[in-house]
Amino acid sequence: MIRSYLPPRFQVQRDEGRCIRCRVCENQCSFQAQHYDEEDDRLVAQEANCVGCHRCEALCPTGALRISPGASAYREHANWTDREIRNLNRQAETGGVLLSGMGSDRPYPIYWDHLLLDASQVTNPAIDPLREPMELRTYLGRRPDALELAPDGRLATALEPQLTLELPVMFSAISYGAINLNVCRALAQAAVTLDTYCNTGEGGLHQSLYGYGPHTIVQVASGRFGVHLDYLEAAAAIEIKIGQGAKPGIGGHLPGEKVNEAISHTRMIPVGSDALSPAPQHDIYSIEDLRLLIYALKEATTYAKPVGVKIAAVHNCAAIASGIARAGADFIAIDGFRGGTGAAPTMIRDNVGIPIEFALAAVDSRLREEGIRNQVSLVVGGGIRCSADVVKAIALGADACYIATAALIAIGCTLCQQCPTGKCAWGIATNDPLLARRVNPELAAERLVNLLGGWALEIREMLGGMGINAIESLRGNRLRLRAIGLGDRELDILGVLPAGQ
Amino acid sequence: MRQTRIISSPRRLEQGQVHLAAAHLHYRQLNALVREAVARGAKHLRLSGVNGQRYLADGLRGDIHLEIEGVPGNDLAAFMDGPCVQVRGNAQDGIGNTMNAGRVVVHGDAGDVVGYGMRGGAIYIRGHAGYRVGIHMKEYGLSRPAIVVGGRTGAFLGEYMAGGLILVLGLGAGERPLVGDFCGTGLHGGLIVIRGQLDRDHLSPHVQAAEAGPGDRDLIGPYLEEFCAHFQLPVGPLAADRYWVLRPASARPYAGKYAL
Amino acid sequence: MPAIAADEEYCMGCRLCEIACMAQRSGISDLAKALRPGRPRPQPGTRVETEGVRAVSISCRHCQQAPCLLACLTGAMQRTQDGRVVVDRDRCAGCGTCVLVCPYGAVAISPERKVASKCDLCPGWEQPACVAACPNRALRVVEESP
Repeated sequence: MIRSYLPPRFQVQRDEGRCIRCRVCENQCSFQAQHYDEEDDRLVAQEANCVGCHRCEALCPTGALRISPGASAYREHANWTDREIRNLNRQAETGGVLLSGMGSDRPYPIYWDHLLLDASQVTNPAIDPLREPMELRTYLGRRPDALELAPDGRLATALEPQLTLELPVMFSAISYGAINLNVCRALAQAAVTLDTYCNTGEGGLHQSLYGYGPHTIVQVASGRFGVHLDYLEAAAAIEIKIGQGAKPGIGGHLPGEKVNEAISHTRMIPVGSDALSPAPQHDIYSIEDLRLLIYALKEATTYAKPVGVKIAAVHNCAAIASGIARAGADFIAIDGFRGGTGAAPTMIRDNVGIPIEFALAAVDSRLREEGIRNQVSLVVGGGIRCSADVVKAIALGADACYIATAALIAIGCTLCQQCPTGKCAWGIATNDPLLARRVNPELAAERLVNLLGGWALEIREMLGGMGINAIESLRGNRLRLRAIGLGDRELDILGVLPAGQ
Repeated sequence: MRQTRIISSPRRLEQGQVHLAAAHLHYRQLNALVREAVARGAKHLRLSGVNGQRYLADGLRGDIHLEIEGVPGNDLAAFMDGPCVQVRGNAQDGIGNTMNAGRVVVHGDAGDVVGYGMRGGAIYIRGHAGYRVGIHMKEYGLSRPAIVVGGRTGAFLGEYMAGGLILVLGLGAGERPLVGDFCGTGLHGGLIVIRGQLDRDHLSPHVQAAEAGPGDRDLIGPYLEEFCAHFQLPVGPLAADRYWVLRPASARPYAGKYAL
Repeated sequence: MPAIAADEEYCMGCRLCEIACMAQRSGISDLAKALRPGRPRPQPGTRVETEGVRAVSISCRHCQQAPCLLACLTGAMQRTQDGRVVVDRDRCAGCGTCVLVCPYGAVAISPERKVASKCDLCPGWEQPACVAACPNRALRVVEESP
C-alpha cells in the first residue's frame, strides 16, 4: 500500500450549535466519513473518506451539515488542474486503470444549450394545452414503405410489431447488478404507470419482475446474461447491445464484489467472480453477423416483437446506422458520450464517443437521404437532462429519448461517481442488503412518475407554444430549431439555421 | 415462392413423424412450417433437402426430435430450449447460440462460434469445429452446458468461459494441434478438457493445466459415453486415454487492473 | 384500532422516527433547540431495534385486547373514543406494570417525569411525527392493528 499525498476532496462542515448527536450522519455514511466519539460526545468527520454524496447532509434532521469542495486547494493551474493531479496520484499509488461511475463530467460543449425552440405568434397561433388535447403518443418500430387501404377504408398493409409509448421518453438500460432489485422494480413500476418502457440492461431480468414484461425491453448483450427463451418471450421488445455511450468500443465489467447469490443466479456466473461482457459480441464480427443475430431473435420469438440495436455515438455512426437498418433492426438506440454507467475506465468515459446531438442529426439525415428513415425508429440517450432536451431531440429527428442518469437522480443519486465501489449511500448502485433497502420501490417509483409527469406537461406546453398539437408534427422538424453560438460546419451537420435567420 | 410439399408416408416413417421437404423453401417458410407442425403435436420431424436454410430450431421448446438431412445454414438451434437436433452432415456457423437445453448432434464438421453464451444442454460434433467455440458459456446449479468436439478446434476456444464443459477429442487431427491459439483467454469458470498431448504455447495465461485425475474422469465419462453412442464408436479406448484439464487460474482474471 | 405499521423491508435503522417523536413532544418547533445536548429529552414513543441489516421501529400497537389496559393499577391507562390507548399522566403512579406486560416492549417509564410513556399517535396532528419524518416510507398509519 502506497500512502496517498492527496488532500481530502471534500470538506464536512458541521454547525456544532445545530448538531443534536442523533448519529444519523454516521449510520447513513457508507464510506466511513462520519464517526461518533463517545468520550467527547461529538460527531467527528474523516474528511479523507468523504466522496461528496451529500447523503448525510440530506438526512441530517437539523441541517447541521454542509459538504463542499475541499478546503485545501492546489495553486491555480489551467492545465494541471486539481482533477489531473488527483488522477495522476491515484495511478502512482495503484498502477491500475482509473475507474469512474456515471457519465462524463468534462466541460465539453453541450449542444442542447445551443439550440432554441420556436414559438408561434400572430401568423400561426399557439395552442393552449389546457384547452386542446396534445398527442404525445409515440410508436416505435419498422414502418412500411407505403400504406394500402382496403375498399372499406381500413388498413390493408400488415404492420410490423410496434411499441406504444404514451410519451416519447423511456427508461434506458441499467443492469441488475449495477443497480439493485429495488431500483429495478421502481423503474418497472413507473414504466407501467406512465405507459412507457424500461430496459433490463445486460443483467438479465429478475424472476420477480417478469410480471412487468409487457413494459420491459430486454437486452441481449455480449455476455448474454440472463438470456433465455422465457426472458425473450416475456419482453415487449429486444435490444441487441453493440455499444454504450459511456464506454464505446470496450466491454462491461461488473466487479466481483457486486456479484452476490442473486446476481449469480440471474447471470449464471460463479458468486464473487467478475461479470465480464466482452468488448465486441464475439459472434458479431460484421454487419452480416448482426443481421444473423437479429433474425435468429426474430425467428425465436416468431416475429412477434420489435428487435432493435443499441450503439454508441461514434464517428461514423451514420454509416453504421444505415447498415443496421438494412440488417433488419426495427429500432436503433444511439447512446451519446455523456451516457452513464456503473463503471467505466475514466479515460474512455471522458474521451471516447461523440455528442448525441451530432450523432442524431447525422443518422437522421443519412437515413432520410437513403430513403430508409421509415425502416427504423431512432431512440437517443446520453445525458438527456430535461423536457427541453427531449423536445430538441425530437425536432432533430429522434422518435423517442432514453433516460437513465436523470431517472437515478430523481431517485436520489447525486453523481458522486462512486458506483464501482458498490457502497452507494443512497442505496442505488449497490447490492449490499444494508444499503439497498434505502430505496423503497414505491417511493422511488412515485418520484419517477412525478419526474416524467412533469416533463409530459412541459412538452405539451412547448408544443402548444409552437402551434403543434401532436409530437409527430415535430419529429425531424428542424425548422422549429434555431442555433446560437455555433459555427457554420456545426450548423451544417445539425441541419439547423442560426437564430435570426 | 414455391409451393410447400409435406409428405407423410406411414410405411416409411415412424408414427407421428412429419416429413418436410425443405428444397427451395426460404428459411422463414420452413421455420414457420416446423412451428406449425410442432403446434399440431408433432414430436418427430424430418427435414430433407436442407440447403443452407438459417435459424432452424431457433427458440424451439419441448421434447421434440428434429432430423436434418443436408447442410443447415447459420444459427442452428439458437436460443433452443429442449429439442434434440440431429444433423446428418456438416453444419455451419453459430450452432446453439445461447442455447438453454437440449441436444445438437452433428454427424460431420461444424463451423465457427459454436455454443456462444450456452447455458445448458449439449452439442456433440463428430468432426472438427472452427474457431471461437464455447465463448462465454455459463452454468448455474444443475444447468451445465457441454460441447464435445470429436476432432480439433480453432483459436479462441472457451474465451470468457464462466461455466460448463468443453471436451476436445482430436480424432483424425493427425499432426495438427487439437486447439488453436489463445485457448481459454478470460476463463473464470467451467472446464476445458483436451485429450492426449497438450501444447502449452496455445494456452492463455488465464488457465492452469493439470492431468485429469479420477474426479475429472468421472466427470467426463458420461459425455464420452453419449458421444460414442451418437456416433457408434467404442468408448473403451477413449475413456482410457490421457486427458488434460484446463481450469481458471483465477475467478477474477482482471482483478488488480483497476485503480479502486 | 389504528396503529403505526413498520415495514421491515425498507427500514434503514436511521432512527429519524425517534428524533421526530422526541422533537414533537418537546413542544419546541426548532429541532436543533428542542434536542440540544444537555437539555433533558422527552421519552420517544417509538424505538428502533436492529439485527444485522434489518431494522424496525417499534411503537404501541393500540391493541384491541391491550394487556397494559388490563394490568394498570390506577386506571391511568385508558382507551380514547377513537380507539387509541393513552396514559393519563396525572393518574399514573409509575409502578411499571404496563412496561412489564406489554408484549412489544412499547411502553417505557419516562426518566424525567417517572410516569409511563408510549406512542399516542400524535392527536391533533395531520400525521404522526414519525411517519412524516421517515425518509424511506417505512412507516404508515393503518386502521386495523392486531
